[in-house]
Amino acid sequence: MKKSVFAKVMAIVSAAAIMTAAFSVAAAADYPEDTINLICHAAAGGGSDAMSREVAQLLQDQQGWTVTVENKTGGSGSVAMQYVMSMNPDGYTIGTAPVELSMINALGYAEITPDNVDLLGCTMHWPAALYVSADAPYNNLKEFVDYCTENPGAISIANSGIGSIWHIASCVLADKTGIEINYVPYDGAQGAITALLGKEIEAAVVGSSEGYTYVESGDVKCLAVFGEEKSEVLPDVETAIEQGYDITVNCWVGLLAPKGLDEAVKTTLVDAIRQAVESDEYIEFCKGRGCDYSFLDPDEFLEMANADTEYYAQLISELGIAE
Amino acid sequence: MDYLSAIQHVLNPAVLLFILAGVMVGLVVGTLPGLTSVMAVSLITPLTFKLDSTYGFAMLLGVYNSAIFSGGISAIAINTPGTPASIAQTFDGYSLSRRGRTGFALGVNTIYSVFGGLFSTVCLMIACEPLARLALHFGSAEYFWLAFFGLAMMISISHANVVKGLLAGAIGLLLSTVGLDPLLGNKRFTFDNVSLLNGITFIPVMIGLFGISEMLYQMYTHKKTDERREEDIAHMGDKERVLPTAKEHRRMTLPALLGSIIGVVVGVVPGTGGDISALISWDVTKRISKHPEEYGNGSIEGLAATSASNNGAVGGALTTALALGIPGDSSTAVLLGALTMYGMVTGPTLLTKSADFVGRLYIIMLVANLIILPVGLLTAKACIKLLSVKSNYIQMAVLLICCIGAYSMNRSYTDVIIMFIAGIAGFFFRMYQYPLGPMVLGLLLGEMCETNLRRTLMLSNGNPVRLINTPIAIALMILVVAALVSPLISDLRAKKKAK
Repeated sequence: MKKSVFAKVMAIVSAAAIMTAAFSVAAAADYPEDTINLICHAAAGGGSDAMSREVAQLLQDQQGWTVTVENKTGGSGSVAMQYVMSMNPDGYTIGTAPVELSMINALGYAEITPDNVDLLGCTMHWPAALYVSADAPYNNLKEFVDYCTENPGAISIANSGIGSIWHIASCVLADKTGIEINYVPYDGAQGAITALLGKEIEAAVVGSSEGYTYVESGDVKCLAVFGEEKSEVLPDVETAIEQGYDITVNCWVGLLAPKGLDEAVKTTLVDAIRQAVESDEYIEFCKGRGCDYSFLDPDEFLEMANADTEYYAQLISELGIAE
Repeated sequence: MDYLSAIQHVLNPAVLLFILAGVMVGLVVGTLPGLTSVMAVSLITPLTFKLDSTYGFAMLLGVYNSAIFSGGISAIAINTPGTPASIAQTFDGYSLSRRGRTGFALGVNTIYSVFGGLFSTVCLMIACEPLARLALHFGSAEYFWLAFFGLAMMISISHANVVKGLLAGAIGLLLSTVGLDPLLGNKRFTFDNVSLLNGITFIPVMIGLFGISEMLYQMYTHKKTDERREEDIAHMGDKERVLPTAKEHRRMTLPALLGSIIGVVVGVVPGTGGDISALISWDVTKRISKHPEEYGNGSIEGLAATSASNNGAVGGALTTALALGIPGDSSTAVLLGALTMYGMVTGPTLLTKSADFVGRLYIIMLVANLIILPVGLLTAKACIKLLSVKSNYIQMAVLLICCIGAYSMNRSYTDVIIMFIAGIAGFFFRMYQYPLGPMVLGLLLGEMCETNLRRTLMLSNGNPVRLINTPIAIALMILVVAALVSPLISDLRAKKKAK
């Protein structure tokens, strides 16, 4: 009697298990049946927001999915990422993965690392660049470094906020060249560029895409790009590496999902995102913003994010930021 | 610039229809507290990508102008600014409305918003590049003095009770320090709560302090207000009137003109917009007014100045955006994003490379403002009906709208809770006659003042002389000192007279 009850229970349990499994397979095959929510960490209007909306639109056009973009700002992206991480890993809630993903743990803002999430792919990246006033006495990185060495502490460099990627980039510049500079944080890259245009400050380290139009207009000049290759929007500017300094700092944005995404769902999502990002429309979109557009698959993305996390953690603790 | 072909382009039925559609969307979004012009513009932006760029911008500029204008509608009708740009409009607009002159106040808002919008567009057309270059002279020291000048207004909006006003202001300043330190990035008063990392969200607090607390206060004093309202309405024979008389116009023209000028200048300066410009205009026009005692108590001059000023800031903000690619405020940041989506390169080259498009854009601005005029006046007529609705229904509706507004900002229940806390606090403030204006000022300007003071000192390695080593900085400093000292002097004079 006892045994038969046990058997019945077992039978029900295993039936339930089989059915659940069957359903989850079916769910993965039918994915997506519902609206996908894309949570963007940046406020409406910025580059990351535009990227989210562009990808959402392309997923809609190419796959026929319905993707809505929601902005949840705050805490260098941690508010949005914590929200995404708290959701069911069913593929219906995904989010943007800002470069801050590799920094907020070291900065002590929140306990989020690239390993806590399922990365879906890197969709856009662009290098840092060093901008100075057009009438400044230095014309390349070497002259700038020499000037700083002769006048230690005389040069102030604007960045887009302490703990932001462009602040880290100016720290890397000082770290690798041994110069002494005064870091002054502004409200975003736009604020830093504005201060440079108004000649309030001698130099600014922000993204290549955020300052190149002022080079064209002759207001500022760019001394070096901190990317692996020359930037398409600044074709005449040599990279720091070409000028003999081992400096590379890139800002990136990608997409992520809560940890534990079903493999089949993940494949569907990654393939769709890849198709969107490799489309001509998307490439056009990136070019218009001076960004690079090569798609990184989840493994490559994780590798890059982890390498950055390690490097920035070391740098942040050495520099004593946010303590 | 070839305005003739620009006019031909814009005055075609399709473009006009898109502007009208934009104005209607802006009207709805702007009126609802919590749904700001930034949100309206960024929600519409992706919809416009399928359109021709002229059509797209017709719609976007319609939304932008109209959302700023219609933020004043809720400020006047229910004491809740529809967007932060209309905070200053609650001071006089709502008092007028309480006296049964809702329609009139809405009429003034419409007419002078359009006035400010047109004025700023003309400035944009004739002096886009030089104005924008002027904005670059605004460095950290100048921002500091500007914010300080705004904070000095705590005195003039405290009415009779300066001590209580300053106490409320101090609370606002204290609240503005919550979140990540703007310069060093360490956490301040966040209690390890991730939602507090970005500080106390301004808009829910604003909705709570103005809307919720007003409704709670009305419920608390229910009987009295209903009697008073009926009395007021009975006295006010011309409650149906929307348009001001010629005499009233004469009183309002100068404040509105000043408001527009301040709007353009503050709008041009990156990072400051209609919220700050309207507050400053209110204060400045109060100082030169022949009836300063009416300010805060239903002054038509104050309402005209603030209505004109926040719309004046729209053209100002566009100036820097078009000439330099630097957004003057968050809405123009979205507009710049839209321009790049249309394949235009924003930045200092835009004015020359896309001159045709910029010309059309100016004409769209003018037309959008002209469309707001009839739409706004018709809305004002319709809003008069609100007066005959029983106040219980209005209170419930406002509470509901406030909740939706606070939630939809960031789709966050934390914001709704913040709103209610602010609302309950605001209720007690009202009960014990602590003015709310100074607290909002502190919260709005505290960070700007702090950051720029510290940044200036960082730039000069701690030498305070840098705070006053440019002409603009010195001029602003004199204004601040004057604002702080003048009430003392007039006090002394009054005492002497009394003797």
